[in-house]
Amino acid sequence: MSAGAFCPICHRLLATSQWNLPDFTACPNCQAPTRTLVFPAIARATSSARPAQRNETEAGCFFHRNSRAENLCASCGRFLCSLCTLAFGTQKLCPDCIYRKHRQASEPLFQDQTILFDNIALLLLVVPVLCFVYIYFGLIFSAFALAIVIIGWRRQRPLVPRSKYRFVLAAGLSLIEGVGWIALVWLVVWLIQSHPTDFGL
Amino acid sequence: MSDPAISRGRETATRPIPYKKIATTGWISRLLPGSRSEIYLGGDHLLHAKQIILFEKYRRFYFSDIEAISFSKSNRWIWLSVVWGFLLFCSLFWYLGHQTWCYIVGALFCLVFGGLLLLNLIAGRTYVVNIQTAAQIRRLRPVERENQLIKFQQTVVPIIVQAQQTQQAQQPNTNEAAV
Repeated sequence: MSAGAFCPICHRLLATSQWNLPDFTACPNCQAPTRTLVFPAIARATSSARPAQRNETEAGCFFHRNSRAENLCASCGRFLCSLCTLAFGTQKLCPDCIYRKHRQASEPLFQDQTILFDNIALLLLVVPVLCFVYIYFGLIFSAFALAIVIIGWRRQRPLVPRSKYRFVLAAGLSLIEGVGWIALVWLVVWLIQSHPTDFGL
Repeated sequence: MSDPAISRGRETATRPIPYKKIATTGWISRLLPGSRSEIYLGGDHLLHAKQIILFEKYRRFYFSDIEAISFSKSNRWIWLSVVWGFLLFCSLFWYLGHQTWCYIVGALFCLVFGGLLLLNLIAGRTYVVNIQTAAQIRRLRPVERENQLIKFQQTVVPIIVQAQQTQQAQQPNTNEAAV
């Protein structure tokens, strides 16, 4: 059984008498008005019990041969005892499969983060302009940003719906900044060539 | 490899999970790195997506595993009102300039800070909301305004109750609820 429900402000345990009340009650520790909705899962027994021993006629766990198999891994099909069965959403998996799937990160159910290539490209375009680094390395940053847009267009796989307009914006900005930088350099060279005395040449 | 359990696992692996956005943090959070987060409703779980500039991190809360949702009243909305109100008051000093451009700038500042104050008051009071499972306790920033919290409760609580009742019905011996 879980320890109980906690106050969101002070993170101390709330009394069971405060559970599922229609109104706010003061937390016994920090006195903050708190309301807690508690669900039946809080009373669920955790799998701390030892797995049952296997008879000779029964199938054994893949990892613990003396324990009785109670489940099948939904991914690899191994027999699992109650200790090795890990509920992952609606699936029951073995520790090996969870580790492997988490490392591969190919399944949406096991994806816990994604790289936002569009944000990286936009940062590469905006930060140099704000820091005045653009004057020296503008073309390099623009080229990098465009490369990231091209790479990220297919590789960015967010779990939740995300518009592609940032990619389009970053591509447009990178072209504008690249062309702008070339124009700026050309202008400076032209000014130096046409008025060399003004520049001390 | 013809075991139905295995093929079922493969099916879920390739199928994309459809998510429906049910709450998000305000537009101001889009300007502050790391403060933007959203809550999505999945088939059997809630997904909390948090953007940290270059990454988006995901946390799942399965309906059958959610133990509690706790919320406490917070004074953040009062402090925000004080800040926006003070800035609105400061904006009025532009009118001491007695010049046309001062009036225009003053009006712009008044519009911005007055709008923010109004939006803050319309959004309602603030709460600190936590969701708890056996493995994690997470703060849900997208539902910390009163209106959002009410909507969130109306949407999510019946689904959680239904999911856990179904699970209890399937496992009557192992899952005796004391609540």
